[in-house]
Amino acid sequence: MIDWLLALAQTLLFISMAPFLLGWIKRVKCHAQNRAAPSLWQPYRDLVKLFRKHTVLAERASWIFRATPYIVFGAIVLAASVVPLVALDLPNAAIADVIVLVAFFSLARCFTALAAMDIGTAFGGMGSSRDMMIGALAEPALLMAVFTMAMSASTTNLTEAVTYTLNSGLVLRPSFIFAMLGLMMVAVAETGRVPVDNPATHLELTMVHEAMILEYSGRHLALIEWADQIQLMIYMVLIANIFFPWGIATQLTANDLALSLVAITAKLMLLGVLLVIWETVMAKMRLFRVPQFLGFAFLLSLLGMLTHVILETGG
Amino acid sequence: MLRILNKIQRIGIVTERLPIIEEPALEEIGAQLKAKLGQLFNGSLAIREVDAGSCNGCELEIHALNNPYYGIERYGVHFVASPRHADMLLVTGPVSRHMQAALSHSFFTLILLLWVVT
Repeated sequence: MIDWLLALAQTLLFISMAPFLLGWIKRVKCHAQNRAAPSLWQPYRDLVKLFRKHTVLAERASWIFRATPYIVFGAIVLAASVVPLVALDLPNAAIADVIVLVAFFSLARCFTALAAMDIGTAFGGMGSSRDMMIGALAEPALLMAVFTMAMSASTTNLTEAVTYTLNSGLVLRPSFIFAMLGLMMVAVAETGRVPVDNPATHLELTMVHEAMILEYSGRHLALIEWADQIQLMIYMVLIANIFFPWGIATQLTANDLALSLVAITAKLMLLGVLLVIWETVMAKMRLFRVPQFLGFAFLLSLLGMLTHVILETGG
Repeated sequence: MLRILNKIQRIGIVTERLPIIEEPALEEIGAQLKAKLGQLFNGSLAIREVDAGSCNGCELEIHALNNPYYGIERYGVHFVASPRHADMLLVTGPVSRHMQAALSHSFFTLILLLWVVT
């Protein structure tokens, strides 16, 4: 029983910390742009404001448009609940493995694209087609990176995979390095960051994800934005905890949990700084170069799997 | 890559600090304004700007608000791409005939309209 409560607490912590992570990234980014940053709690203020506002629906909105924010938010929260954040031996990890996690992302993406086309605005359809193109290219690369990890650990369950990395100690695995680089590139594409998409753009012609949610307002918009923040955090936690799991609590004692919380916060903050440096030195690329970018991510993941087969098995 | 990071490091934060105002009359007005706006503006404001035939002077100034020097974003005010995301409609210019339809359209897609500033 206490396990399930802890699992619930972990999920709640996950979804409540996601806006804070975005606030941190924004703060570091503002410093990289030599400007004074808004408060770290700004994403919370924006969300609260949006939740308090009324929602306006377009006249031709069907049930898909109305249901999408809830489906997207639900899918992403379920995905967040199976990712080990602070503790390993929680019962919810057995519910779903990493392939289901990818499927949750696809479900959210699919419904966002449908909702964007539902209204019939030009930008919505354009955003959907672009996002589906990116998704179709990013998901194979993501799955390939995940399979590399799964082949090493002989499991697709996230908790068991993290335990495996933790138990095997500090071993240099070329396959993991390739898979990590592949996963990072996919994460950049899937969460709509520079160079694939720019989350702060106002130019409709260059929008990808933003173009799909132009018609949303009020609490619908709040749910979708919150889901995006959680998705960004899921990717960062995946990278942090699969490849650098040290510090995560293996026993459910208060001491371990506190240490784990400090460790994951430090890891996420560091990853946030890395993301900002990456975004600062890169320019947004043309849409037609995105397939090359994601092709490279796929290649890296494939190389990871090959090096695993060639170098790390047998013997 | 290192050059741009070095440059960022060297320049530091350029945002202008708020001047310290020592005029009691201004402070009083400020307090009144704060009491009135506080209910509507709670640290987060999304603005949709519509150019209805202005000379672009306003746009230059509005754009300058977003730059690192003035940095309006630090107060939680930002410009958005869709009137549905906005709390405030900011109209510049005398509303030319060609922009009339577009302006009224974006006016009606706004929700819980706080202000229209022209």
